[in-house]
Amino acid sequence: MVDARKRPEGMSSPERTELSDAIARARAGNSDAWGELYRHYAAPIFRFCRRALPSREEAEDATMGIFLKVREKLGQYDPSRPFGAWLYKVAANHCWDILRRRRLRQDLETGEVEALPLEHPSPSQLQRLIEQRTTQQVRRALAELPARARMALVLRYYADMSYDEIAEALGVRRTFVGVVLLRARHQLREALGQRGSAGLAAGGKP
Amino acid sequence: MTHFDEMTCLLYLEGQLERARALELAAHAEVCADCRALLRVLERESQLLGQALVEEDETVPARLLAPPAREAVPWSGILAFGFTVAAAYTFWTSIVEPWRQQLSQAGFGGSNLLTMLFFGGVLWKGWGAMLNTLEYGAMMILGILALGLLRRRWHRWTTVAVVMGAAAAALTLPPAVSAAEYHAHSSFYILASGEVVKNDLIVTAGTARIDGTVEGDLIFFGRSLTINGHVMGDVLGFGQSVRVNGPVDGNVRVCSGMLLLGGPVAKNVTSFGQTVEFDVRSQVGGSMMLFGAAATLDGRIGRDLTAYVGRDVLNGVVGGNAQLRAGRLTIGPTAEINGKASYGGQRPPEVSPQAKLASPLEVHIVHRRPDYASPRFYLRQFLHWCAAFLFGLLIVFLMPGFFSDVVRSTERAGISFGLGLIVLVAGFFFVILSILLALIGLPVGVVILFLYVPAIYAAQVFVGAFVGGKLLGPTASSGDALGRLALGLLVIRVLGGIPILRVFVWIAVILWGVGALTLALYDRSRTRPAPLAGGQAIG
Repeated sequence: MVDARKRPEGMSSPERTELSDAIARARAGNSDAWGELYRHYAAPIFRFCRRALPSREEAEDATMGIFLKVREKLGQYDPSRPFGAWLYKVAANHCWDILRRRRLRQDLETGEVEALPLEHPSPSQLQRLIEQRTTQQVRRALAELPARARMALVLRYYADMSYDEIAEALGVRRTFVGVVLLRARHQLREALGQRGSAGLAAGGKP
Repeated sequence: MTHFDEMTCLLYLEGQLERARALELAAHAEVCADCRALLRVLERESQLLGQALVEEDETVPARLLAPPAREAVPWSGILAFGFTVAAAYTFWTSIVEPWRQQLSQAGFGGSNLLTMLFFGGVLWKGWGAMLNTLEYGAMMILGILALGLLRRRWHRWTTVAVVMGAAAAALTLPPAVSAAEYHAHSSFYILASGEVVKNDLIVTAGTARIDGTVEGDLIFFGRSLTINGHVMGDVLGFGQSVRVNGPVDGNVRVCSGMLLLGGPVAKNVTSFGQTVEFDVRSQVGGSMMLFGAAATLDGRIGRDLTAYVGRDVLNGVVGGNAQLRAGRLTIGPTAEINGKASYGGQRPPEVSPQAKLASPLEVHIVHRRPDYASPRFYLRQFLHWCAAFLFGLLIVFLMPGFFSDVVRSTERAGISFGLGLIVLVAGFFFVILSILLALIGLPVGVVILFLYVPAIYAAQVFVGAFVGGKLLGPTASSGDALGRLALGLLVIRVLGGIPILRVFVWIAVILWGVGALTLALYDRSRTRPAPLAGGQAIG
């Protein structure tokens, strides 16, 4: 696998033509082409779900669900727009629906908490925190975040979504996306900081 | 010099600032070391986040390697249809029809069992009103589901509005339940001699004595009830002991440890309980239906007698047919049966030669052990297997996530067994006790008790899925998972058909399955997300 964020824009042009060809054939109902698309996107979408949802099993089920949905909705896809972006949009909606159904979205109701001012970070302290943490520790800290904060970070830094797309997926106002992301970063820093102060014992073997 | 805040810096890095503002910030950062440091560290944080998220830390599960296939021929649909027919047939012939026949012989006649027991007024007339409520509730749920299917993505407020609107509409419907006098006494209640209650009387008390007259129905929850007065409607009693000495113009329906009938009852008597004593002075105008451990019947029954009793002694008169199922039956010298009499049980009955029977007693000795030589036994086993598989299919299609949760819980066998034991034994008694002490209402209690039935039935499905999975290993496709379910159910059915062992097999399956179900429900109730990259989540 190349980059997990398999947006066609990041690919070499022969690969891109091949893929858009597969998309067109899959839209026409060709199941080989569909298989090709699936093999191309299954891993990144699974990883996306794995980041967004609490357990591996749920991520597996969600991946299946997303592809079933995509196959159904393939006719609605506008070929003039990037396929990857559309796919991630479907995936984001699907995962967010799952989380919402599981009532993990309590954090959404706390509008007034969102309005609280955030403490201005000291660049040198933050620098130290970032340098000390491994990607594995970051992933573990991410898992502890409230659903929306985690989802926002995943949409932005994994799925490469624009602020407009994130706003739509999470059902928040466009102007609010930056606040959600910044707050999520603060929560992540806090989780990372606690991990550090609790000793790096937990940072060893998962 | 004023610095830029973190929000603005982040938006700048993400390319979300307007051009003018972005230029302003860039110019400021040229000269301000603090802001430059902040920008750099935020950028570094973005990189770390991107790396952490994109990194391939886990392999993609095998079941995701091939696209989920859609079947060309709807085999599963055809199979499911076949199973449905088989299951419906089994259910009808082996459960509903025999009961219906026996009940209609007992003088209840007509409509089907459930309707009769619950809504036809056999147990309580109020069920009619309950039925209406249930119907409205079901209609509301259906309506909401239909709306939900039409519009997939719901705004919560729309849902709330629809539900509240429907609830308001339901509330404006005219109330179906008529007025009743209600008495809740913690220890003792007496309706004194000469006192008259003009409508229905509902009593919750430790001990209650009715010496006066009740013109409507009498409904009692408590420890003991004694009726010396006159009840013009029905008597419905739940308690440890119920004594009826005075006349009752309606039916007597009792669920109690002991029922003593000493006075005349104009209509029918139904009793679920340990012992029934039917005094020689007493008389029942209609039919009598008994379920319990022991019954001594000395009085006179106008119409039919149906008894499912461990130890049955009949000395009285039965005007109609007698249908007796008992562990032991004694028909004494003073007994008289004017209609047909039949007996089913494990031991031959003791019939006194002086007893007057209009026709000879039909005796059917029941063997506890199944008849392994008969092909019907195997056909039946097959039909039961079909029915269980169909039920499994239903659960898988309706609640796939929940199904796999429960099957996963079966892996924790020890906890499942323990929980199953607690839920089935202790829970059952707790509910019964709560009803008897009137801690919870009767409708709620009955609904809870009825939830046990599907849970117990579903137990084999969950355990079957687990057993099948263990035998053939984990699977990728849902079709294979159903195959494993079918195999597991077959294994249970075969083991559950072996003499002697079968009892233990079924007890184990039920405890395990119900326990796993409870465990999964419990896990669901705490919706704490498991760690994303945590140890136990990575299989």
